[in-house]
Amino acid sequence: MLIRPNDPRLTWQGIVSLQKKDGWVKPWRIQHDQIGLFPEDILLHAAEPAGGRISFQTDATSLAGHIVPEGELGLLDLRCDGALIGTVDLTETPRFQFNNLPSGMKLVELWLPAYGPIRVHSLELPDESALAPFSDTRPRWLAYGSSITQSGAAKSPSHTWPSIVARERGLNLTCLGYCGQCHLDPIMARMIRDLKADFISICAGINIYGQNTFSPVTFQQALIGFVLTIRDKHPGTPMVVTSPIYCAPRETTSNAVGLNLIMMREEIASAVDKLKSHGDNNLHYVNGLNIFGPDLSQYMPDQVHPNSEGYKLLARNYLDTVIAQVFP
Amino acid sequence: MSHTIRGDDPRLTWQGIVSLQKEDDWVKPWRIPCGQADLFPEGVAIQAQRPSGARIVFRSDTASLTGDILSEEDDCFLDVSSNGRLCGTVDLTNTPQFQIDTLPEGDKLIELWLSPASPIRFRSITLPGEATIERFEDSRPRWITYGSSITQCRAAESPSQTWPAIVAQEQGLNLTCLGFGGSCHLHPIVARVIRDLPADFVSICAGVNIHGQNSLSPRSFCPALVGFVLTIRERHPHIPIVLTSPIHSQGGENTPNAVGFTFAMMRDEIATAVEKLKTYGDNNIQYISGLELFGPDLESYLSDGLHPNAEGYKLLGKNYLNTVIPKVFHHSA
Repeated sequence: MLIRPNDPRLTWQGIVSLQKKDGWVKPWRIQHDQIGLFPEDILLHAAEPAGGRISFQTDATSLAGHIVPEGELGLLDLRCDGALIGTVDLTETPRFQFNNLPSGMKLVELWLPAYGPIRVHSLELPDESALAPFSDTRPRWLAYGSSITQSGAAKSPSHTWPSIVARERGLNLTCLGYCGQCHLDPIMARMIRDLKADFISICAGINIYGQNTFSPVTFQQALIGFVLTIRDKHPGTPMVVTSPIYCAPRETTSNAVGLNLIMMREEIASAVDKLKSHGDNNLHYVNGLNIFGPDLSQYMPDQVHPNSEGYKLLARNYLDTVIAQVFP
Repeated sequence: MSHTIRGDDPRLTWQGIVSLQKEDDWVKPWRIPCGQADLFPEGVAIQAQRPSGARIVFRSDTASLTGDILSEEDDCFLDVSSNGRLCGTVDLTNTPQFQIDTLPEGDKLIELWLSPASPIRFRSITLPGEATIERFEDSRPRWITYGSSITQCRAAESPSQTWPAIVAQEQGLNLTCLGFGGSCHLHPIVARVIRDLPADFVSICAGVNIHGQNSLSPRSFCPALVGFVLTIRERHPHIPIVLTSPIHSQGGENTPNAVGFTFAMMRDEIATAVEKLKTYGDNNIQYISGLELFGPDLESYLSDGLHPNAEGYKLLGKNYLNTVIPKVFHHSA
């Protein structure tokens, strides 16, 4: 039984829009129909479906598919009722097959690549298989951030730190981590404002430092504007802003516009305080050092990005530090 | 007998302000919502207390009036006009009490143009006992103009001779000037202020402070501008919006700042932002180069290589009337 990617029995999760072409669809983590309003730098990474899943319920014990990677990377995870069944590298096998699904009705989730855009041509189940969409009732979590949130170095797509946190806590994840991005673009705030959400997290600063995007007169205001825009349609939703995790070379060294990570953490904390004092009762600040501090620097081989093991530790700390406090 | 009118008297119309801070003995005009001042960047909060372009307006048949307006800083002048004609300028810097005896006979519109340089505390004005006083309802189109010190114009000859004031009076617009010296950084919260004000025409002049203070980079400038306009459009979907780039300044044109930005690059970015917005359905947005408003030919009217002097602001006002206004108000005089 051949299943087209726009089949209503497939539930696309953790993506923002689908670009539909003859014969394939491409998942995006921005609104594809407004692509020209987004900064050009974000497009490549918005086409990488980090945290995205194709979900459905079936009794099939085998599953085949045809998913073509556009880039050089493209790992795909298959999970059944949450348990990892297998991982394929789409760059080697765009036509893949799994024959080891457990019997009986179950939730099947194909976790899409954290790195590399893809074109989904089709899935295939044995004839006579039951197939039904997945109605996800879990709270929706929007996680905005940088490459560290995109977590390209994770072992496989379902091992990014937001994926681990979402599964453990039972959240319906939309990962809005974009490598080299997270510049608090107002258009991103508007996109988040317009998406459904039960919990919103923002981790901002590392690329703003690295690319001198905002100065001491604009950084805090960009964040305040970002939160206010989201609040226009999510007035009471729990929202947490975290500051950058540990990054030794950037802690005290000024960038071209005179910011360092210590100053940026203070600016973020102060923005959150100001918004709280003006009536935001469900906004929280968590220091990134409490999630990934200098004690974990051995899990950060390039001194900026955690490695695969580091992402697991980051997820554990996020669960204990952020989720326990904000979204218990 | 005379009657003394306090700042919150309903017969006075405060124009060109965003909020009025009310204390026991005085009121103070702000160009941001004063109750949220600490959510704003400090630079904006400071400049927003200097009421550039703001007026206290009423109708009266009085030939004289006295007033008690305290200046908080230096260079605090007040223009008094009658039916749009300047009748006198008073210096409030050291003496809050002033008197004007030169108003023409008969019922007229009286406008007190407030200082672009100093915050004020308005305590009262006093009219002779027999004088009439009535509230003025302004039916002219509302114009909000956002910019830097060059829009705030503290070097103008007097408060009613800033370039936005000149344009507004000539074209018949109800001006709200949001020029914030040193502080035009496309802050999203300022876009929200504009969004939430009534407006028939919005103009934005951005770039000079962003260049001078390295506040937005080639990565963040265009997105900030697009976001700024989209926010305004939430509640003003169809009104004319004009974006202008920096006016001439030798220092900024081709000299990269700390993040690699020049005025020339910024002009391209602003034009690009406008094109993007048009592509996505904005039918009433325009880009006009600042060089058309104040080009290198006017270099001698810059006092410090950056800011026009009093005469330069008059020329800028005239050029704005000739260049921008006809593209926005097609039946303009």
